[in-house]
Amino acid sequence: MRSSPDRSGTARRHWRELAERACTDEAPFAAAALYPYAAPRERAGLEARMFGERRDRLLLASAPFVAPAVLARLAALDDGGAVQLRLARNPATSAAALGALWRADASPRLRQLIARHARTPRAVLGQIAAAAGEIETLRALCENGGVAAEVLATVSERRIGVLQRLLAVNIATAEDTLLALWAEADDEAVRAQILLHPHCPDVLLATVPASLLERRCLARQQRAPRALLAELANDRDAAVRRAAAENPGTPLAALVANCFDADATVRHAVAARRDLPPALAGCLVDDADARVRRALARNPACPPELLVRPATDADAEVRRAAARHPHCPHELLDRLSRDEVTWVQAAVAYRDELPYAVLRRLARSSDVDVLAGVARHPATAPSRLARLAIHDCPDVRRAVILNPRTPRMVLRLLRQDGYALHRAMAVDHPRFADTDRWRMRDDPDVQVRFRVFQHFARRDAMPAAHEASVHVTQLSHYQPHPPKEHMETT
Amino acid sequence: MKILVPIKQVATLDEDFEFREDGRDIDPDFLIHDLNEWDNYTLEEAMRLKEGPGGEGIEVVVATVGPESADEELRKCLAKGADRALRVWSDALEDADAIGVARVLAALARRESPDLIFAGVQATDHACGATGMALAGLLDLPHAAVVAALDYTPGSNSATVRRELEGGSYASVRIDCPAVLTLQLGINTPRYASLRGIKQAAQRPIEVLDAEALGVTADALGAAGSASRVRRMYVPEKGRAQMIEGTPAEQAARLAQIIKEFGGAA
Repeated sequence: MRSSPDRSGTARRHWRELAERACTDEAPFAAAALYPYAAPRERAGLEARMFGERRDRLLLASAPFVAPAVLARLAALDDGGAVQLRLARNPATSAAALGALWRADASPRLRQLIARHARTPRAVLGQIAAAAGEIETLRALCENGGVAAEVLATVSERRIGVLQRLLAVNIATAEDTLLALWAEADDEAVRAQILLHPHCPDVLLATVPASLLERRCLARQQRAPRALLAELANDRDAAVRRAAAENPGTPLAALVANCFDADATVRHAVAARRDLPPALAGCLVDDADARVRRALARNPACPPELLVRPATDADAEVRRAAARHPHCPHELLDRLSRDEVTWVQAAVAYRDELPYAVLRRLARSSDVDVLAGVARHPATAPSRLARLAIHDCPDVRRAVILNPRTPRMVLRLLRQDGYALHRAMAVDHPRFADTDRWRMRDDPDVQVRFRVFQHFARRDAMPAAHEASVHVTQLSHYQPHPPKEHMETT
Repeated sequence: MKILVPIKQVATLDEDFEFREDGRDIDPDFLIHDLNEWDNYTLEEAMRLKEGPGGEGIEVVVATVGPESADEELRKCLAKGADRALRVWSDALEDADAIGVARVLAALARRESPDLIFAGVQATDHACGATGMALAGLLDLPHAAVVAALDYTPGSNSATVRRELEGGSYASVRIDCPAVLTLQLGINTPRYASLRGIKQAAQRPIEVLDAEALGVTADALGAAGSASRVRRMYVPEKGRAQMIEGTPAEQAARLAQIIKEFGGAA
């Protein structure tokens, strides 16, 4: 939290007005938006608005978009069970706040939530791992996505059978812990998870196991030896063959037979490989199963010259997949833009690089999916965007906001949109001006007001140099301007 | 012509909540309020008639029985185009059930004399599904429940409705007007209010009425006029179900044992 933000005259006036509004706002979120950037003397008023009513404290405690500083202050209030439970479940709650909750006289439910929270301090998780008696708390810890390997090793040393599989699943479990689990485990489900784990010891990946479950997991292990994966690609079980076919480590030579596999899901896995050679693509282009043809048509590894067949496929989803292929030739796109199924046309409309004539034709469509694609297209003309910005269908209007090239004048139309989510999205658009955002400070929707307040609080707390770098970063996110011949100019 | 649209401010809950001290309701601190989902559709249907052929003279009146906080939902309806908003409240209505609420709405309907009344099939919070039909009974008006489609020409003496029945079947029914219809979700596509409409609605008056002033007598008001009373609200204690711990093999063995114990297998 900044001790005393240095604001310019206008910024000071803005801040004063926002702070006054936040303190009388019907909801506590406007005050929460300002709080992390407020000077100490201003915080008392904001805290009074945020924490004065229990109802508001409950709302804030479960809001994942609220700044960690607000949640930390709330955690320090010692506000009883319901607020604490919500804080412990909130993914935005900071490590310090979770540590404070843990030091309190925690209920079993609160201990479980803290054990599961990805931001819980390592020291707290270490205490839980070493001493917690409730199996549900230990289970929650094993399911924690942010836990350290040493903590999981401590749990493993307690040798609790029902936790073995969860330990083998957790991505942080270290190699030596997995080896110890392997030695203890007499359950194939646990061994299978160990074989699948990214830290699986090499020594366990040397032979093909007898158990089906273990073979299925080994076939998905990217570090498995190529020879072993080649053997699994010819396994008698279709799920094992499919897993091997999906595995980038499986040598391509081993996949030739999979192209003609009796099981369509195996052929589908081959068709979707990013390293598919043209010869194998040729084997699959006329596959009997439409899902296989669709996966191939969408695969960037499928040679563009092969797309002629998917582009004329009887199945509309296959044609749509061809339209989404990153290297689909322009003449095919032209044909697909006239497809009898508008869902196929929409796939064309969603491509960034389109001949002007195709974009213009699609813009004349009345289908909302096609028009949404046109609305988010970087080359669509501002005048057309202005028309789409007042379209009856919210999906089309939303696409206009999602277009990073939508000019400010069009965005100003969307500032009046009846759908609050659209107004909230418009606040964050890089081409929206601060004068436009300022006019939205009394928007009737609470989430829009939160974003406006947060924007000005951040901006005014930001040193000038940092602000300049952010501006450069925002501009760098823009797509390069499309070539002139692809631009719609009217 | 007038269409009365009774609406309800409903409550939703987060995962954790606490009960009131008397144990008969949720602690209001844990409630988040919103307009009943069905009421978006009833208002839209009224607006569809008003904006359609022959609808120029239609007045759409929204009404609710609820405390001051319910004004927020009435304003949402005004923002979408309702002509007038009425709210009826007395402290005694705190304990009114669906029948008790219907008695108040019936008194209001007698005062307003609408040609049609569109209510939602049910409310998302209590899900009684009774208010609309109880209102029809109290007014002694023709009625149709769970209406999925409406064919009505403004000013006509009858309407044709398609009622949703069990098993995916429908019934087409001709009904005399004035009538009370409870409308089902999906009968139309509700609109969003424009920002201008929302801002204008914030300034528009809401007529607040006292139930007694509408002629609802004390013996028909609130708990006295209700057919039911909530004695206790609670979360059932755990114990009827349990998680089977252990590895898959241990879980399967325990499951087989349970099935044998309960006679599900030889």
